Amino acid sequence: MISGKYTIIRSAEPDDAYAMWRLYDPSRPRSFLLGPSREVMIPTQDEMREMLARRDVIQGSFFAIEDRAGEVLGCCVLRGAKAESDFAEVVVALTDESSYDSPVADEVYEFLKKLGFVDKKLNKLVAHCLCNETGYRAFLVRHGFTSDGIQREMVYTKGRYFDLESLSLFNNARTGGGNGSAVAAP
Amino acid sequence: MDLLLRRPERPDLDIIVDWMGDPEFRHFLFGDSEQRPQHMGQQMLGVMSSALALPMSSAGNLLLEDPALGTVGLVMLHEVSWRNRSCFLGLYLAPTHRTPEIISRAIETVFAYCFEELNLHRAAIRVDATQPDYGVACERIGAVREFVFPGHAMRDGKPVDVIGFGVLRVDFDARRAATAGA
Repeated sequence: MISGKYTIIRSAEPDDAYAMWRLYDPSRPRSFLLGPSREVMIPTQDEMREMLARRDVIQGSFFAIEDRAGEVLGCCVLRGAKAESDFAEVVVALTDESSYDSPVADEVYEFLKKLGFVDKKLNKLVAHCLCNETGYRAFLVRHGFTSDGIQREMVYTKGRYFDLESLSLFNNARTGGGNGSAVAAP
Repeated sequence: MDLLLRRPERPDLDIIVDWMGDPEFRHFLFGDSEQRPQHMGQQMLGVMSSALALPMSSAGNLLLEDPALGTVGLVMLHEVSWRNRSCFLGLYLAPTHRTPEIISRAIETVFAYCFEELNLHRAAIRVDATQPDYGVACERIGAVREFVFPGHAMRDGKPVDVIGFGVLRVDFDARRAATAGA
């Protein structure tokens, strides 16, 4: 558990199932909802609880974010970090879109950055956002992520297609080096 | 002329086993790491049988054949989403058939298959920056260079950029119609 100035970040537990499930709001398309085939997935609360009970899956990768009063504000995830790969995907899912422009989100980012680059010794963090996630994208860019490009009309939901943007942050970029991004952000 | 795409048959196993000697084929099958829990034979069976489930599943392999040259390579369709009507493609060509002309025909064939047979809305392929012929072939059929992942894949211990080319069906069809009318 990491206790910060604005948040408490801790491993998610089965009892967080309802709070986490509320993040899966199908009326608000978000990259966070996408499964392996980039399809919008909405788990049931039971599935959520079952997933959070699997320590092998979530240990060290799926975290609940609470405010100082103990209310769950969202979750953050470090997906796919393995010893043989030198990158992982970061996800920051906050219930309130405006929270991405707040010290809460900055504190979550600092936690994920340390987890990825220092604890797991990764070379790169990647993130994705749909074209409607302007607040989330601005949050990523503010923390040094640069666009790798946009996959056009990648995700179908709510009766229309959404573009999916990929962003990345290299460890050497974080420490002042370049990351060699070849595609300009839109 | 388009190449043919077909499901692998049992006699094709000999060809696929021969390809195992090619580092590029092993990379095509296993990615950056060759340390897989599955026995190589199981991987082969996976290649042979995966297309059977393609109408339902999210991945499948098909052989590429030229009427005159025989089997020239293998196509892997993965991340197939029937909801988004999209997929990613992987393309392997045997070393003797890795020419700009066959690469170009193969790219055109597999994208046409995605749109005209699988009725997809979008198809994309990831190409190493070290494979410029593949990129040229993609751009020739109207694919858009959508993303570049810097240093994303390891080749011989060195990081190389991975380039993603995407095609929307509407663009592919319009280009084909324009080409036919020219």
